[in-house]
Amino acid sequence: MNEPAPNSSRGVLYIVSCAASSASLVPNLVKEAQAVAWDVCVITTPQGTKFLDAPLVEELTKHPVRSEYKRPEEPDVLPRADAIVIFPATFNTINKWALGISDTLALGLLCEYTGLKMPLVAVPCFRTGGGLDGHPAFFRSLQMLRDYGVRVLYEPNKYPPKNQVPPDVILAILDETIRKHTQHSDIVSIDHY
Amino acid sequence: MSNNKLLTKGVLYLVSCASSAAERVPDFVKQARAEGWDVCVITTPQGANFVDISLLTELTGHPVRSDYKRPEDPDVLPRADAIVVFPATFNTLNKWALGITDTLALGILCEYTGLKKPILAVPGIHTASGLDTHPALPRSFRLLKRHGVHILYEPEEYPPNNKIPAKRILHVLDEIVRKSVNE
Repeated sequence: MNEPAPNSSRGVLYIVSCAASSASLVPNLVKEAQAVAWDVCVITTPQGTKFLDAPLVEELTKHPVRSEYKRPEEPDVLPRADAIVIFPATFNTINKWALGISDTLALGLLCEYTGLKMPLVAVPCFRTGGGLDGHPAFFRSLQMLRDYGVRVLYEPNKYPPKNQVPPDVILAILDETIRKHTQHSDIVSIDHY
Repeated sequence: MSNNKLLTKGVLYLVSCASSAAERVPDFVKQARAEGWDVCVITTPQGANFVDISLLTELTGHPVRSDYKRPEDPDVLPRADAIVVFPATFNTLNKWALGITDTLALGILCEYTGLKKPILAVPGIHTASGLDTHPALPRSFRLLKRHGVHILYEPEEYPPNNKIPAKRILHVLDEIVRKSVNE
């Protein structure tokens, strides 16, 4: 088993993992992120726990995998994040996130960090042509999230059949997103919503 | 209830939500089968409290599903040719319009909406309960109609909770299916 990245000079990266078969690719994304000096913490949605090898991820990250809100009196077990990658993001979590519905810990964190204008990269992973990608709410939510400043990585034609963007591409886009954030953090007006 | 060779219309999913109008689901299932639909019932988790699961399993010859399966479990239902949402609740209509799929029923509805399959929703909301006048409801109706979903909502004609007879629901469904085939 890999040692956690001894060099975590980039800071803390949350990977938020939802209920999709692509969650089997999360351990690999963790390793690649650690290799470029991220201290990685993984959070899943409650449904996402069925799809994630949590013991493996805990061993890799040396952090507990959280999926439920803590009780008010319990301490925070994770350090604050410097950036978040949502991989795999589901239809459900994308739509709830855009609307500000935070009835899971994962959504609570996403909505909080969206409001804090932190670097967020979302990678929706579900089958092209399966129906969900034809529901108009999905594209509306992607546009809303982009307007909020979230970087959405959705290129289903380039990464068929489920938009499983490779880890090196995700991490490169994350770097670019962080660079842009530090340069200017002006987000378009969202009064419209 | 095993004359499956007479079920020539195809597979109809009946999505049943948590409303007292769900008491009419068994009668709807019988009439739909009599007209040639192979019916599978799916309920929301709350909706499971409003129907007799073992009766519906016996009537349809299919398991009644209300929760997402585990990734490793097989699909137990055939794919649907059409869907009737009866009774549809305020909660499920609003979540469906917005693409929220935190129940199996909503997941199926959003998926089939995107696939542009024939879907007919029959709200089972009590008139003057307050929910019927919440502004989100007409907004969701508009969104769903724009998504291609058909809504059968005639609360004044069918009090107290849009109590539309099964025969009429099935007749409207036939029209929708016919139109979708012709398109």
